[in-house]
Formats: sequence, C-alpha cells, structure tokens
Amino acid sequence: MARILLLFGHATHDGWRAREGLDAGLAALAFDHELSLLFVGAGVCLLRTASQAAPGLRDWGPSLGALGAHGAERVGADADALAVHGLAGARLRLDAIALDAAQRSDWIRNADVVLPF
Amino acid sequence: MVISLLVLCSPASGQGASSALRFAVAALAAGHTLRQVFFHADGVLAVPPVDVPADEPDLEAGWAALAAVHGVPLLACETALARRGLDRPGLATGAVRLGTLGQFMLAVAQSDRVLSFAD
Repeated sequence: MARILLLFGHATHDGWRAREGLDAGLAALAFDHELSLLFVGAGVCLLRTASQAAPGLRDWGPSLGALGAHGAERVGADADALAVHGLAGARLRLDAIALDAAQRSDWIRNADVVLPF
Repeated sequence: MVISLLVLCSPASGQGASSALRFAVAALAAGHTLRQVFFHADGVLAVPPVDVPADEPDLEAGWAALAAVHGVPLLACETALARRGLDRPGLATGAVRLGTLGQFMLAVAQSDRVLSFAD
C-alpha cells in the first residue's frame, strides 16, 4: 500500500476542498494506505477546536477526529501558518507536530503520493 | 510505468486541467500505462458537456480521444458532482464515467506513480 500525504491548504470557508480532502483521507484508510496529514497555509484553521471556530461555520471535528482515530500515522502543521493564524501553542483538534520548512519538505519527499486539498 | 492522475481543478481556473491532459498524452506517447484518471473536487467541472469557443482548447474532446484510442479509464467522483448540483441523469454518458474515491484508492494501490493536478 502507498504512503499517502494529504496536504490541507484550504480553510473550511474556502469551498468544498477541505471537506473533499477529508473524504479522500477516509477512503485511503479504508484501503489500508498509510496516511499522513499535513496542514499548511489557511488549512491550519481546520485544526481549531470547536470553541475557536467562527460562528456559523460547520464543526469539522468529527471528520478530522475520525481520520486521527482510524489510523492517520502522522499529523503535522506548518509552524509559520500556525503563528499567522494565532494557533501557535494553542490546543488543536489533532495532536499536530509543528514543522519548519525543511521538515515539511522531508514529509513531502518521503510520501509516495501527495494529494493536495 | 503505471501512472494514475488526480485532477482537482476546473478547466476554467487555470492551467491545471489542461496540463493534466497534456501530461496524459505525453505519458502514453512515452510508453507508460495510464491506470486511471480521476476527476475530483472542482475537477469534475470538466465532465458536463460544454460548448467551447473555437479558439479555445476543447479538453472534453481531448479526454474523450484518450479514452477512445487508449482505453484509459476516466472516472468522475459522483459525490463531488452531487455537491455541485451536477448529478443529473445521463450526465456521464460520454467518455467519463461516474466513480468513487474507493475506486481511486484502488488505482493508487495499483500504480507506480500518482500525480495530482490542482490550482
């Protein structure tokens, strides 16, 4: 099975992209692929806890939690993006490792398949 | 080499969809096998028939030729189509058939390389 890296770069308010990435992640796990999640740019907003989510936006917690609970091997987030979005040091939806640019490159390089959502 | 493609961008949002088609043609010409082309997210917007102005590239015709000549399976995510109100009866009667993410993940397992085209 392939080592798949799901790259989340869109926030919930930016169309269907994040939702469709979550669907892809669940499908990958169903087919026993090795799954890692990397949140970059505005995609780190998906990691906000429910209490931090903006009013009126859908709570993505259950879907993200399912990815974590059902076998996503690793979860990482762009350290710079976390800082930009006020999430550095904050409690996040998933236990994401804050990654610098070199570490993010390593994650991407080591994946068999990168799926950008 | 066995290759699968994931097309995530609409034909109207940039070069991604066009690049995917051009890559597919080049890969086949180089002797590679295309296991599957999967249209997901806004990539499914390439599926509905559209009247393309004569001076613009007709991606739909390009994909149809690829399927007809080389038998490349072209699948569009049924859920992504439904989210965009495009799950009309008879929509996928051309070269592109309705598919699921499960079929794409199976193709991933059976491919040496998977390339994504996004905006």
